[in-house]
Formats: sequence, C-alpha cells, structure tokens
Amino acid sequence: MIFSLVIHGTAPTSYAAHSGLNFARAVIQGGHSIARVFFYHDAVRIADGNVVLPQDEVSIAEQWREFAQAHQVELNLCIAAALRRGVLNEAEQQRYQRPSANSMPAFEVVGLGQLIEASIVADRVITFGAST
Amino acid sequence: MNDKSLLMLMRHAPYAGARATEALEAALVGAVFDLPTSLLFRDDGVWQLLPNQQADALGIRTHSNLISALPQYDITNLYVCSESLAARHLHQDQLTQGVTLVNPAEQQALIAQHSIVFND
Repeated sequence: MIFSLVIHGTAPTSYAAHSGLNFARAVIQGGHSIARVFFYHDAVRIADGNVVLPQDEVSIAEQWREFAQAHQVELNLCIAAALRRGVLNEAEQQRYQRPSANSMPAFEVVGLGQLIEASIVADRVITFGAST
Repeated sequence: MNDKSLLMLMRHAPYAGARATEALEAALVGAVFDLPTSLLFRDDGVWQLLPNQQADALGIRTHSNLISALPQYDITNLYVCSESLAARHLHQDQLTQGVTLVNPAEQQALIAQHSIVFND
C-alpha cells in the first residue's frame, strides 16, 4: 500500500513530527511504501537550520533526513507556509531579499499542488495534527 | 483527471492563527487540480462561516471573503456540523448562504464517501 503523510507540527511546540516518523518507520517495516511526506502549517519549521538544541536532545529534522535518505522518501515543505514562517531556501531568500537562507537541503520547498498530487497517488493519507 | 474526491475538515476559528487560512488554501489547490472538493466545518471552524467579518483592523485577509470566493473554484459542497453550531448558540440563519446542516451520522457518511480526507 502507498502512504502519504501530512505533518502539521514540530518540536518544541508539537511532537507531530516525532509521531509521524514513528509511523513512517512502521510503514516501511510493514512492507509498504511512502509517496511523500508533506510538512504543512507550523511543521515547516522543522527545516530551519538555525535551530540549536540542548546537547542531550536529538534533532527530529536530522532523524527525518536519515530516514528519507535510507528509504528514498521525499520530504516536502509547503512554500506558502514556509515563507510565512521565515523558512527560506536560497532561491526564495534571493527573490525576497532576505538576510539569509535557512532551510536544510533535505527538505524540498514545493507548492501545495504536491500535497494534492501526493494524496491522489496514495492509497492512504495520514495527517499528524498539532493542537495549536 | 481521477476518480478521487477530497473532504477538508475545517475545525479552527478563522483568526486563531493561520490554520484556517492555510487549510482553505489547500482546498483551493485541490479544486484547481479538478479534484471534487467538499468542506466540512465543525468545532470552532463554524465561526469561519459568519459573514461580514472585517479583518482589515488586524492587517490580515478577511477569511469570509475567501469563503465567499469558493464557488468561483467550483467548491459548492459546504457542510456544517449541527452540534458544533448548537454548542456555540449559533443558528444556520446567521451563516453565509448555501451551507448544508449535517448531524454526526451524516458527517460519518460524508467522511466515508470521500477517498481523501484532510484535517486542518
């Protein structure tokens, strides 16, 4: 079965990205595949390369990057949501003349069309919501 | 283009952050992709359906203008949860026109009918 995941929140205000990653691992272990993981709403902040964590905490962004690399899964950020929250790749940083690009390369900035496309190709779309 | 259909659950108040606006944007893109798209407003999402909102004072988009524009995107299937309205002492007469009142059993059927269900 093909799954697409939609994630709405990330640390430290939400653990939706953690729950989503646990689910994604179970999908692969169960012999299924993942078409795409789409980070929407506040979850786009996961790609902010400026985040600094306490030394005893593990980066959820880094865990997603490793997972995506190991299983050839695309990690997408909604461009409109990312712009609103100051998460910019180099192209957007130059387009809008902002001081610096901060999005990690493992996360690709895409349009909402990719969310719809991911939903159409998948047998199941699973949303990991955030309470805020 | 396909035999799929999209139901978007709209559960957040219009100005409690950007959630409602971003959910609506996703629904609009669904419709642009020729995906038959329906919206179900429930919980605090029912507040989105009140007309005459004026968000200019906040310097942000007026959400009800986006709601009014939905027919231009061929999104005409709008549903609202009867229990969410009652819990907030709202009545269908107060809402924007063309919204169908649905009880919990009808919402269950709506969710079952659509191949893709998004939560906001």
